[in-house]
Amino acid sequence: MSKKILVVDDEPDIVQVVSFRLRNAGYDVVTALSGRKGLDLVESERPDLILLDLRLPDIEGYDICEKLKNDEKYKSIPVVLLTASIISGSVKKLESSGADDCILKPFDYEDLLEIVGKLIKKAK
Amino acid sequence: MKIKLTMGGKLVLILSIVLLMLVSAGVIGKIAIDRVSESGREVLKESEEIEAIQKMGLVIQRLIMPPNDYLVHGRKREYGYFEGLLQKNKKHLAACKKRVSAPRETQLLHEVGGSLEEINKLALKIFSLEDPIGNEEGAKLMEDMDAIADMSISKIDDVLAEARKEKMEYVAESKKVEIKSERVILVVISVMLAGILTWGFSFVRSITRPVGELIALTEKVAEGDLTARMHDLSNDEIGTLARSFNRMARRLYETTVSIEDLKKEMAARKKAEIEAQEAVAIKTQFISMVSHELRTPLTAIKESINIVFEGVGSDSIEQSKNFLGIAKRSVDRLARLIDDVLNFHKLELGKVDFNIEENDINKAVREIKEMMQPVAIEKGLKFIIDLDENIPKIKFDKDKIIQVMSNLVNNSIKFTEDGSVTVTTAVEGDNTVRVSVKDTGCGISEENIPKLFQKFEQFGDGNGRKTGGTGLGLSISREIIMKHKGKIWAESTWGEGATFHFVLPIREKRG
Repeated sequence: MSKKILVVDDEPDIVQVVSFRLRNAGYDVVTALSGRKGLDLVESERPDLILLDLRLPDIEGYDICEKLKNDEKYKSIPVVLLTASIISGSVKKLESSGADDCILKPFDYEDLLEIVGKLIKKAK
Repeated sequence: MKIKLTMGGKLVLILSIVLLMLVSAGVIGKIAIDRVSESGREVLKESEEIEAIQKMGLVIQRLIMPPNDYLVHGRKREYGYFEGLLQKNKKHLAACKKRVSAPRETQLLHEVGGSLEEINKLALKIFSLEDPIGNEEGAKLMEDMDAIADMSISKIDDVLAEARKEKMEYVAESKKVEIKSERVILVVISVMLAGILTWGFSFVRSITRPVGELIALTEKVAEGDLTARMHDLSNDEIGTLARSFNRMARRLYETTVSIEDLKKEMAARKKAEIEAQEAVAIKTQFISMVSHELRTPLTAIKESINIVFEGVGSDSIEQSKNFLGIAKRSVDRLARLIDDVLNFHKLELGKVDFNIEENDINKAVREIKEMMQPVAIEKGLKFIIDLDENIPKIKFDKDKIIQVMSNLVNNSIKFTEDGSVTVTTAVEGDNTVRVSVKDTGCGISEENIPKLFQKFEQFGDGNGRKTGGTGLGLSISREIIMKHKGKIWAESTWGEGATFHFVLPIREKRG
């Protein structure tokens, strides 16, 4: 059974290209354009990995990550943060959020797939 | 000329005057008492003499009794009695003479002495009579002797009466002197009391009045009025105190002023520092924003072109078109970003020309409706306009105001998931026209409202509004409205939508 990945980003274009790449690599993909929707999908879809944008209109990526990592039910799900600017958040904040990895936009899809693959393998 | 004295000086002066008055009262009293005692002594002496003389009268009366008895009874021994009395009389007279000094009394005693001699002669004649009882010569001699004795006694009585009268006069005189000296002392004491009271009162006043004033001024200083000064400066200790007070108040004022200056300077430095920090923060934010806003479309462009280029699973023309569409949108977005940054920079530098002329604001709103309604409908929102048809024509740059309205409407559509966006126009007050853009979206938290119009401000922190743009839209709008001498602001309650208003002056105020 193929692994399920949740992509949360408020930029529809980014969601579209990332989803395409992930589906092409054989993953199941669910998408959310807001933090709240993303949290709902974590509950209903039980993804194997989450790709989370840092800047979301309703809830910040850090906070979502922190929330998930402090929840016994979801803390085992690997979270990869997507950020367009490392300056907008300190490295410390990034570390304290408990995210498993972080990818800076624009990224090479090979790198993205490698990180995603490694984390899913580890989570098994 | 008013002699200025210190308080100690005044006290010394008052005490000296009191002392002087007491001494003079004492002297006057002493003189009066001396006078009284002098006359008293005289009176006393006189009355002693009178008593002695009075005794003389009695002795003379007794002296003539033995010769008389001899004529009655014829006893020889009467002579012996007489002789004894006479000796006694002479002795008494001699004693009197020693004590009496007044001429009148001396004269009297001399006369009494003469009388005694005559009585003696007559008595000797009587006692020489052989047959005294019923003797006619004896009776005659006796009559003579009686007359002499009577005369002496009456003389003594006269002198005594006169002496008594004088004594009475002396007593009356001394009484008068007593009363007079009493009066003098009373007057002196009254004057002294009055003087002390007057001086004392004015002295106490001269202390309490300036002290009261000083207390009032001290209260003023305590309440923060450091300009309070004592103006009525005397030469005494109170004056010195007042001068010290003035100096203290002045120093306090100077110190406070310099502290205030220091505080102001510190506040100014602090402000400058904060401003500098803010400038750095804005710059950091700007770089962060630009990097984010560049990277996001770049990611989309890169990946979509890669997908098409690599032909990964994009066997259909439709799919290729879709990804190229993403690339195109993202390129447009990049271009818009560059435009916004340049636009705002130019606005800030005042390098943008405004074409301000008479225009119809309602017409501009209708144009906005034409532009934006399709976008709203696409998102499932209603686009409503509510126009006041009585709005006069006002002067504004139509393109720029449309840019502002489009920015506001765009934001509203972006942050509203369902409901409507309403644009309203109205005349506000006497000389402004108001345009409001109201939405039914998520709203803005209270703390973020003041930040809305700041440069590069975007809220991606879970408080609802993330412009998704450059963070410059509202800043550009604000600059444009300011150039029109108008005002722009926002009202919102978190979760209940937001309303953005701007007003433009009906009569444009130049300068």
